Amino acid sequence: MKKFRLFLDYEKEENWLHAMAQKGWALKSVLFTYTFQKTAQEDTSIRVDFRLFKRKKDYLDYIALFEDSGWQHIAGYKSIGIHYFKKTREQANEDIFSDAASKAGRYKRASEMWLMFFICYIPVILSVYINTILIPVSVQQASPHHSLLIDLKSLYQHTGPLASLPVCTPGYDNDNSTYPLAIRIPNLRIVVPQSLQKAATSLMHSL
Amino acid sequence: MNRDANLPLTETTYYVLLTLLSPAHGYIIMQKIEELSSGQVRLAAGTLYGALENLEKQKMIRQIPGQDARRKTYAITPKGHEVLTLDYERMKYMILLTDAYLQKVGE
Repeated sequence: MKKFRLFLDYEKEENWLHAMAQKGWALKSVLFTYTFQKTAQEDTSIRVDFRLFKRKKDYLDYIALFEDSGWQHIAGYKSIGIHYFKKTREQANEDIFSDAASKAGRYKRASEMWLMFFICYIPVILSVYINTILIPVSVQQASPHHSLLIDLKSLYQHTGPLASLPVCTPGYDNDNSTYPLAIRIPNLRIVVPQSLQKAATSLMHSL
Repeated sequence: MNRDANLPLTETTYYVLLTLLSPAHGYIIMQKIEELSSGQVRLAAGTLYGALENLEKQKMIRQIPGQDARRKTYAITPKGHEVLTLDYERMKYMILLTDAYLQKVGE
């Protein structure tokens, strides 16, 4: 059985997995969704840790330490970071952390990973933002038949909401005279390709 | 007083350094600490793994070749030994100071 859930709180996740085990659903793997297998009802504790590993050797040592101390690794991958452990020995510690600082440490490690992830994806996020918000705005300003080029470099230099930028009228003569039809928005230049400029100029004259 | 930046040690790191005076791998460390403290201190796996990682980063312990291929064996370094001694003296001084003060207050 597959289930999709999102948890921000590890303790809530642990409690939910514990309740699933009590109902006879044993956790098999976690990759976007939780995969469970029907087994006998089990009242075992499940604990979650977050840790990334660069080397396989470190990862195996980590799993060995948990297994030695009565916690079996049931789901998780070396480079994804989140690991699930099931208590297998009655006399094992009730938790996989014995002090408050290390228990909080898993949130710190996870947030560092998400921060890195976000930084790496800024160009992707930004390009989606440009395509969905800026292009429709600029097409309204120029002729809808013109293909537009956006000066991406100046976009990166701009701070503040892009959608709120004042849009200048077409034909604004910017400092670059080779593009007389460039539409200028402060720090953002939308340039009509030269091949289309002649047609556009004659259109402007006829108006 | 110019104190070492690593002081005071946490209970976890103190016990780990103490047991690593003789080389051991993770689970052995856990068992030794429990035995030493007559069952008072029971380190959990996640906490111990983090402590070992940090101590290695701070060069207070190092990995040494062990018989077990899957489990990393650690030993204390001269730097770790020094920090452990400093923390021991710090605590000894605290005990002396507390004893003297309690006596004075009790009089």
